[in-house]
Amino acid sequence: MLKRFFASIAFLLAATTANADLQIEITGGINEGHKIAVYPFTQNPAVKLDVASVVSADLMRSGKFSPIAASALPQGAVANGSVTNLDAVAATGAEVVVSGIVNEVGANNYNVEFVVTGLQGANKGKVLAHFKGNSSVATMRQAAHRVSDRVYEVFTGQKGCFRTRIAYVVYKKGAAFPYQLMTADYDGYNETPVVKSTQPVMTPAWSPDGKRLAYVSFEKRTPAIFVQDIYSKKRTKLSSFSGLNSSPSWSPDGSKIAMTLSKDGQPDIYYYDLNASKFVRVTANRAIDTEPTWAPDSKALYFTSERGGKAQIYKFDFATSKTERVTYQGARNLSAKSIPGTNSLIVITQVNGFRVARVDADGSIYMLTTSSLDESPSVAPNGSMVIYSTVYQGRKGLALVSADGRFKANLPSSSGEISAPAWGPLLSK
Amino acid sequence: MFKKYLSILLCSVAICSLTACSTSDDSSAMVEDGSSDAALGLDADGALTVGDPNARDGFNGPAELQGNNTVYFAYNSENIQDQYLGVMQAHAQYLKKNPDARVIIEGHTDERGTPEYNIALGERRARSVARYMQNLGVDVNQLSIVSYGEEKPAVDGHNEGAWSKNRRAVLNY
Repeated sequence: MLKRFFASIAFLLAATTANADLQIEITGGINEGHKIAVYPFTQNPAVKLDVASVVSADLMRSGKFSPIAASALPQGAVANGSVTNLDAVAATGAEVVVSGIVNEVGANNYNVEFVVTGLQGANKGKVLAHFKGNSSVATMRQAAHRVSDRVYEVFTGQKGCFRTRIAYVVYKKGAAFPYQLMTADYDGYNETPVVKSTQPVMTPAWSPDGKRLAYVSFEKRTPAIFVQDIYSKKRTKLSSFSGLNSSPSWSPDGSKIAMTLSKDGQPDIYYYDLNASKFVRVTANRAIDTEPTWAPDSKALYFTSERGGKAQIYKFDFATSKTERVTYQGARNLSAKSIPGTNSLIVITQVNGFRVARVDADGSIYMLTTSSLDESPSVAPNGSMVIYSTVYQGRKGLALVSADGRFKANLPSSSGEISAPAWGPLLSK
Repeated sequence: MFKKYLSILLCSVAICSLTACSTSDDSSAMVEDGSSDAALGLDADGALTVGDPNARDGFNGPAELQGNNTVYFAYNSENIQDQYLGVMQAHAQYLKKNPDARVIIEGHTDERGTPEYNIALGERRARSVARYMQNLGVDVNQLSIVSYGEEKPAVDGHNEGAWSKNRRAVLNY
């Protein structure tokens, strides 16, 4: 169900003028990114997937690109993956044009090949990138995402994250096992259930190798943290102390899982050292300490604490064992997540409701959303996008905002209420 | 004077150890190696199914306490308001008369904030109720707490009408 609404974003670009009734709320200024022309690939008819539409949707969601709608592209300017009328395409104002082919090279074996050609200034007519790779029909979506990754990297110098997975919890009222932990491609396709429970499931957290999820389960009527292999479905119970077993977070170096436990009197931060096989206590403060998450170098923990009054973000440095306050603006700040490659954080800030915001190293805070019931933000591994949970048209669902705030979209689901998104790691080269 | 502080101290210590009595699983505070599920129950979608689908979610306590087992809270507060003292007194009376009975105090919040923060806030509400009942003379061994945060709202909706009904502690058995 989720994928239908994610897919609608892709269709929006291909058919904006043809079908104006799509139920997608694009609320952010998508026209502010790099203008780019992605032409439909010349594809073997056995390949039904429109590779170019997947690529356009990927690039648009990153917030850094404004793909021209397929219907607005100059006709006849591209043939068989090559640009035949450079001037016509350049006249659109696009910075580059992407053109490609999908042709059969063997039984269910296709060559996906594309070229990125510059359109303006010194780059006009220059081939900026030329890649090819093989794919079957079944893996064609991944091949399309790979094209997006390459285009993104050529343009920005950063790795694309269009082949990543997300995890989230779906609540299907009335089902025998209504709380369902799912994984899917970041755009909602290939949804795969991992565990289904009669009681709430919370806070899925990816291992850095992308093979396991830690999560909180109330299946025994008290909370416990499990670690589950998403392929074999086998799992281990990590923590079932008395009181809270909450908010797991896996360190980027894979060695530790941070969590909140209240077994020693009040919610505090602990971590489990996977190499030493032991629990280590990090905070021992009478106020609520919770929501631990790791700095990208695994050498510090951010967490939410009420030690100063209302909830704010603090940082514990392992080298110095010192704790310092990080956020000072907004009535409350919760749920800090590092933006990889930067010194900034994504938080949920309370300013006229609870909204996704970015806190930069100098403490300045920048609102990314205008909604008021945002929670559970998770940052893409290349730092470009944030997925989060919000209430849209009366239902709980996911939404995307680019880390610079340019691109925004709500992703309502028709089947169940969706929450607790967690963006998986970057695995592909 | 000293006696008053001593009793407060004892109550505080008792609250700290309160949740230690709550689950039979407390000894499994260590990690269990290997899967805790011997034969994996995978459904048609390949998902692991967990939990008891036959367990009822309703009130499992004595009939005379049904419908009188919820304490409501103001926004972001765990303070117990006067109008709910009677609820806890009724349950305390029952528990004192029935030493084998065990009450589970569930803490809940409205949806505002974040799910993990609300788990902590829900626990504070449950502890608040537990503390009050201990002060009424209930044995700590009869009390256990769990927090569901915002995960199990009583009323669906995204306005104060719904939120005020979700900020609650529920006494169940």
